[in-house]
Amino acid sequence: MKNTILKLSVIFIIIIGIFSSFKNKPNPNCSKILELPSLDGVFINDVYFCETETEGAYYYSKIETSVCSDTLCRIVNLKVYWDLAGNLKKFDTIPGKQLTKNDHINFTSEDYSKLLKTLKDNYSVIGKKHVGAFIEKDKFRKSDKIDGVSGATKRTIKEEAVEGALYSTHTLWKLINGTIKKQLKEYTNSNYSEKFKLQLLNSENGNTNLFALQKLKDDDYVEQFDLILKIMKKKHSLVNFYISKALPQSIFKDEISKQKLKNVWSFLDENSKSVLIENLN
Amino acid sequence: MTEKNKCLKPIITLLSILLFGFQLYSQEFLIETENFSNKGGWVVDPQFVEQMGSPYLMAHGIGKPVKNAKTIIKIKEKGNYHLWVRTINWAPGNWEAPGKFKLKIEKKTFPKVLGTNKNWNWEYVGQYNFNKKEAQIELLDLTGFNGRCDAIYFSTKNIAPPNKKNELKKWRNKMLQQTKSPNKTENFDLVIVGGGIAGCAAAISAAEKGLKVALIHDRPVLGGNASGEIRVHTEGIYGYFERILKMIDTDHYPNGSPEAYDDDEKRMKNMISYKNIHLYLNWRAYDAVSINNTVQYVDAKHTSTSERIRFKAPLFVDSTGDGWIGFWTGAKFMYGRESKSTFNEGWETHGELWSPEKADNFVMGSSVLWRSKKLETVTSFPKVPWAIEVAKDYAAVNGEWQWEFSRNDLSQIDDAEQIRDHMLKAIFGSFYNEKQKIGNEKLALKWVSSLVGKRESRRLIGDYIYTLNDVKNQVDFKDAVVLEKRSVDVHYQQNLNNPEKPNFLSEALFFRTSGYKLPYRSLYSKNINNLFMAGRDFSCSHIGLGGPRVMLTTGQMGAAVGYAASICKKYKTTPRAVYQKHLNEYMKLVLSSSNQSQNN
Ligand SMILES: Cc1cc2nc3c(=O)[nH]c(=O)nc-3n(C[C@H](O)[C@H](O)[C@H](O)COP(=O)(O)OP(=O)(O)OC[C@H]3O[C@@H](n4cnc5c(N)ncnc54)[C@H](O)[C@@H]3O)c2cc1C
Repeated sequence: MKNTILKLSVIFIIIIGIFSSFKNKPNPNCSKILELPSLDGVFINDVYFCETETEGAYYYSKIETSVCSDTLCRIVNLKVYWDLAGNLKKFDTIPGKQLTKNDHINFTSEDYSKLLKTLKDNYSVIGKKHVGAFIEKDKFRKSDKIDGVSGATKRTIKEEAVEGALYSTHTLWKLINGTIKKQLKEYTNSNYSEKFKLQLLNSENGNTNLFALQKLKDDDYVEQFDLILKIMKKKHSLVNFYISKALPQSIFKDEISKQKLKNVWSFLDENSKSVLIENLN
Repeated sequence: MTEKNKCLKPIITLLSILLFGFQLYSQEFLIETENFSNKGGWVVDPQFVEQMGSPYLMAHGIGKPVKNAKTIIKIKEKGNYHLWVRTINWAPGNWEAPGKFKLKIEKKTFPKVLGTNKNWNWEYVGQYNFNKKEAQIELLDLTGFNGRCDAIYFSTKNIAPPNKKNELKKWRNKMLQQTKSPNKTENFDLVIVGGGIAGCAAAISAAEKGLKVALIHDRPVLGGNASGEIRVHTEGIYGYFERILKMIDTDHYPNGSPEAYDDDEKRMKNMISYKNIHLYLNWRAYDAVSINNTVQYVDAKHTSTSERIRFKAPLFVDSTGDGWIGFWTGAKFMYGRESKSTFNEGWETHGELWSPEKADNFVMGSSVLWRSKKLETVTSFPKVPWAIEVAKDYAAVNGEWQWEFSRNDLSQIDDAEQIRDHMLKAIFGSFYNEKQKIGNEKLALKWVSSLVGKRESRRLIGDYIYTLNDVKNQVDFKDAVVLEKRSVDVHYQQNLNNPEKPNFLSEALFFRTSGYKLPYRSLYSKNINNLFMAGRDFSCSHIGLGGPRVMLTTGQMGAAVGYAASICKKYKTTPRAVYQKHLNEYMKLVLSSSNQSQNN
């Protein structure tokens, strides 16, 4: 019985998939750059590179994907926007195609915020494993095979997935943070420009800053020092630790720059401080 | 000399005589607390000897005051003595010190509350008039939260002892009348230091080949991180050494489970069945000397009696995890995360979290495992303001492998006590938060390890440095003695990526692989001629350690090294020569390991 339902829903999805190839085109500032197949290969979603006055450059796709549990599959639609570093910027729902939990209750605005936060987290536990691993059948389940994977506890998952939408969260995370990320970064790299650089450095997302920081030469650090200080104030430890190690010696020879660094001291974590302190004294 | 000075001279002489006379007359003595005959509920902590100077007694009562530690002291000269204890407030701040205790002599309990120093130092206790030649002295724990006492000093003079590291060391030796070298020397074919799974496996394979082996281990039980004291289950595969490793491995219990005790028992039973393994439990190596790049001896001290022995042998194994024998004898070593270009180990997907552009000291951290349990009756847990500073509002019922702490400015060796204490604060604070939840009235802290379990520190450099590329390329070394299949995983602190996360939790990154092999050349020192290493201090890069650091793999290293030692003995040669001149014979021995039976 379970199998029949599953088969039927897959057939239904394939039919929908065929029809879905006639999709709306996004705004005229966008050009198609690649295709993003859904995880089961049923849907092929076009991915666009877009650039507007207000938003700057970004990537966009109106994605359609099947979300399957052990017994059932259904379709989820979402408009997804990535930044130039391949990190999720935001998503929009499609009118009439709201996301649901427990298969029938519409997401609340808190649910959408929680989903966005999880989908934006490159290292969310939800993306790590097969979704079945998050459903604790035995409360005292033994830890997993390898050091470092003793299994995300139900509790951890509760923090990251909207209750009743575990499968959707998992599928969307995989799709949005999967191989597409690498492809988008490659596209950015091959079209890299001063404009891109500034947009990346001005992003609110620390990992996006890091993408650009890693391309900076010593002279760029000096030239963009004020922007770098602004990034440091965002308290992203990984980024600040990277900057602390990357700052060229010329910064530490300049008293004004040294003072500016001291001014952002309270925004820094111990790791970054430990690197800077050697140069500041 | 001026006229005025001439007048002063007799006065100075008189003063000197008086002072000298007084000095001769003054009495002083030092009691090391680890020497107490009855330790009550206090535990001996020998983990930080190299940093703070000595094993010490600690009241690890997880929130409940422990039973008094007691001993009888002998007094040479009766009289009035000033008393100091060497102690530390391990969580200083705007709250009362967590680890408070008092001192009692005979019937007198001194009012002074001890354990309030910010750093390890002497605290003045008061005066006591000894009118008998013997007296009972006691440590009274007041809190159950890890009060510490290193030593007690008695003096008829009111002058506090020195506290600077080197000065204190000299002074301590003088007070305890310790000669420069131990009076007792023992000779072996092979001396192994560190009785983790690696050290145990090395002892077995060498003993099976007829070597007289000393295994020096600073704990009462064998197994290192796999012991019932730390409770990490063994992971990895058995490689060529299934028979040996099955004698010392663990079941696949959840980390932190008391099931670890059964495996301790099994391990011990098997280890003592080898007559030519001489076990030195509760002995900590504190020095080793090399001449012409050859280790001459290792000196070790009993962690409770302070007795000392010099261990001599033609060959040594460093399986201390921290690479102490290598460090003391001048073996080349690495510490930290190499830059991604050093060994070409970058992985774009995980960027800086995996392998940094510029080298740093952000190695994988150390852990303290713990667990709680619901009891039949309601139970209380005290307020722990000094722990909330670290735990913040995080709440938990137990601590698995992710409870890990590393920071770029903290050395996993030199700052290990601070790291352990950070984890204790994280645990007590998180449990306190959990306990406040409705429904948790019967929840009790059941077990918190007092030992810090480490993952990474010094890696001694061998003839071959094992890296990620050997995993990726599945290099088929002709001296491949260790086999592994598990993913390469390295850890990072969760708060690096997400400031909302507590700073005591880590996450793992996995590089999946179908299998890889490790060469024998990574298991002996490049520049110390007779030193093997087995365990997490083997020759590898930071990322190279990611896969093989688990304990069945380190156990394989140990077993491989024990066999190599037998070849060294047979040909009176060095570990390197085993590779250069006797590789065929050695590999045959390794490959036939599973078929061999005990030979002692
Ligand atoms: C929380 C945690 C979870 C982990 N998870 C796993 C897992 O699931 N499975 C797994 O296999 N591995 C796991 N690991 C990794 C593994 O435990 C270590 O890498 C491994 O213990 C290293 O083995 P070793 O023999 O080199 O060191 P250890 O196990 O540390 O043994 C060395 C021993 O030497 C003793 N010693 C040190 N110095 C001296 C001295 N001077 N004199 C005398 N004795 C000394 C120490 O007391 C220590 O017990 C984990 C580690 C931690 C901390």
